[in-house]
Amino acid sequence: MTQAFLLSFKLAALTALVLLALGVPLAYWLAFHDFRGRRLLEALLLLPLTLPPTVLGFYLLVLLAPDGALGRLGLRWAFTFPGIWLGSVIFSLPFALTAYKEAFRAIDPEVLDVVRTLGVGRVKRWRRVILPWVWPGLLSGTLLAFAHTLGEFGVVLLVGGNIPGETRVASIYIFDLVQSLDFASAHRAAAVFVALAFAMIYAVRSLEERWRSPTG
Amino acid sequence: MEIAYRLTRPLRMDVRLRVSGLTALLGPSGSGKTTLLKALAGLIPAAGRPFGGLPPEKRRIGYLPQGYALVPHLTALENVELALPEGGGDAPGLLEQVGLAGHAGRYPAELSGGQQQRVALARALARQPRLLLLDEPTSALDAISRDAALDLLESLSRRLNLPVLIVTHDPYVASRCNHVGVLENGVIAQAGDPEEVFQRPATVSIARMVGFSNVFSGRVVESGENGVVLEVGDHRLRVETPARPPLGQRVTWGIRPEEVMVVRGDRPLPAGLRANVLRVRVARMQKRGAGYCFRLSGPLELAMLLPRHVQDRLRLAEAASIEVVLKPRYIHLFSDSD
Amino acid sequence: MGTLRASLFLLLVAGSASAAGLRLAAAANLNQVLPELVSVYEKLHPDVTVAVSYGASGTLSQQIERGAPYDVFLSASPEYVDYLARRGRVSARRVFARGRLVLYYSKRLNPPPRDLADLAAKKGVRVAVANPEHAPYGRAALSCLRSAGVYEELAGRLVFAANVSQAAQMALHGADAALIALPLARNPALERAGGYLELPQSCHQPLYQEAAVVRQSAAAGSFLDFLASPEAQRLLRAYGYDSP
Repeated sequence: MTQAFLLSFKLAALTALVLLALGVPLAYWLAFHDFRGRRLLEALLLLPLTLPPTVLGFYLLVLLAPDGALGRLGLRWAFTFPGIWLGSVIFSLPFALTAYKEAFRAIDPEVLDVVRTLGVGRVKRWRRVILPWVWPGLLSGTLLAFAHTLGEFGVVLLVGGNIPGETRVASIYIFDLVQSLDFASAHRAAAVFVALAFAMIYAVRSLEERWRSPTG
Repeated sequence: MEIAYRLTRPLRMDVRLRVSGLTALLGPSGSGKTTLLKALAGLIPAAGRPFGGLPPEKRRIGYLPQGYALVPHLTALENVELALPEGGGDAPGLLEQVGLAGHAGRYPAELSGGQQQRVALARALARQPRLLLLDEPTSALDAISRDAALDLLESLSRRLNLPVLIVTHDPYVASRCNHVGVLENGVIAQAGDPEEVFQRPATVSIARMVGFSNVFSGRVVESGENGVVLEVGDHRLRVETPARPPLGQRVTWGIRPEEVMVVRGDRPLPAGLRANVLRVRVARMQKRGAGYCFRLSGPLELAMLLPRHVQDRLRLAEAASIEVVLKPRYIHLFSDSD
Repeated sequence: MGTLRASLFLLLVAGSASAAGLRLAAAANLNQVLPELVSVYEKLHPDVTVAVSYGASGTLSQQIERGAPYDVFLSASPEYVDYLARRGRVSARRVFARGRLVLYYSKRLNPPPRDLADLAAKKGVRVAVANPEHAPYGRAALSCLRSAGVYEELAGRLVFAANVSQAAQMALHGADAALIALPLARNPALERAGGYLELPQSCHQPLYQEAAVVRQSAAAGSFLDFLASPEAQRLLRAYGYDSP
């Protein structure tokens, strides 16, 4: 049980980190730069929301198999942790990206314009103006992606199979117990998992409240 | 400072203007006043002198938009410090210069509109700009704050030898500047000191912008060394003007409402003025600010503005029949480009 | 700071494979006997850690074909081993048992059915079976229904599970009956909630359980040998499997 739980939290944490690293610059770019085809790109990035997780997982599996388009490039990630990591990133991307974009859209572009005329360089702009303004939204989005990944089942099952220690995350582990008719263990595992996830999310939220600056 | 800027998007503009001391930029809504400021600040692509081709970070310009654009999560002091190099400059001193020394630790949300503007000003000055740009700085202020703001700007401009370009639609603000430019159709239609523009607007549209509401048509019937005589309906009006339109020409002319004078029974008019007297009836009377606004009907529909003390003495009432005189010196001929 | 580092370390290390590991992909019907078999095997080979994943034989064979990292495949039917063998994936194979199909019925069915025909006669009864596309027990179930002449009648009321173990679970929650493997019907949870009837072996193709090595290693080979050992065979018998 511990192995499955640790795997779930590891997957969720690493997915959240990747989304933070990739999603923030992407969201900033989408929020502040208008270019031809922007709407098309935004729609494409939201696509995983509309796809059934099993469908998404299946196509990813095909791509990552040794003879698939990605597998042939050396990304032989079918049934491995990197594979479900990739799947989770794609699947949770719309959640994180939407939250990040909203956070950036809350910035008054006029303020950014004027700050530029004050001779403030890019690094200082990010450090003193942009990040303090958006970090609550960024945190929310990341937490959302984390929580979403914790509960992920379909994508992980299809891309990762059910390999203990590698891709058997908590959600699959519990499902397995039910299927094996071991209901007592299933109840126990589910209760522990929900309690852990809840405690984690609650803790992050409390920290966020405490760190908030007066802008609110 | 001489500025010459040309842009195509979002508006076509080709502006040449001298900015000296406090300079007002007047123009109808949508004429591109804010666009010009943004182009000068480098926020819109444009070609021109000075600063042309430089990104906003490299332009020594102070730009204050209508919303002041203060960073909401930084205090007044921190906002000013943004424009200064790390650990350098004198942010508290700058706040003191604009009279906000005691408010350094306050956040923008805790300051009044006028105070926020002063913080934005201090911040812009921290940049040691060569040109200051203000977009409608007084439209959100009450009359007292407006005067205080203009006083502050005047003193700063003088002390720092800093040209200040103020976009405004308020004639009072324009009247307090030493130079005025009128933006119309993407070019400066007229530029000069405020009196020049207000008393002698070059075109009828500019006239309307500066509150010149009595605009009429007439025909030149005499031309002499001091001026011309216009035939207006049944009347002949003498006009003192350097312009020499040809005889028979139809011209547009006007007179400011403040300069329509009431003929008083106890004060006889000198002979030279007798020609320009009109008998009219007071059609409407309205209190306007500290004075009174009249609509007079007769041979011409005239608007007249009288200060309170004059009305107190004259005691005009609606439906009264009076005589007004249009002094030849105050009648203004518009260029016939209209 | 120390706890932070420790938990980060744990996080990174979680899920990394152990030194001598053996990964089994097993047909779902084996999930009652296999834990005990594995336990015995691990005592005999203390240096090997065994991990098991269950599923329908067909589903597992497809995963293996796609590169899933299993060492030994335990199929509920030789045909899926054939499938992998044709693709050159099998290095050793051995039939180790024969399975039996039973009709399990919930306590709710009163009186309990005497045979398949009797079951079909009950109005509105829902019967769970493993998906015949992927599961040998599912195919066997349909075969028996046809043999009893009740397939047409029951076809509309069949509920298809992803594998035979899930079909058993459905019998506990929602379905009134299920055609499943004998070991599953003997699971305490099911025994408490109903009963079962053995079905004639002649109504379906024999359910030979076959093991195949799909990734060669000393441990894989030794596991195959173990399955043929007297001790393993005894355990299999105890859970309701016949000798091959």
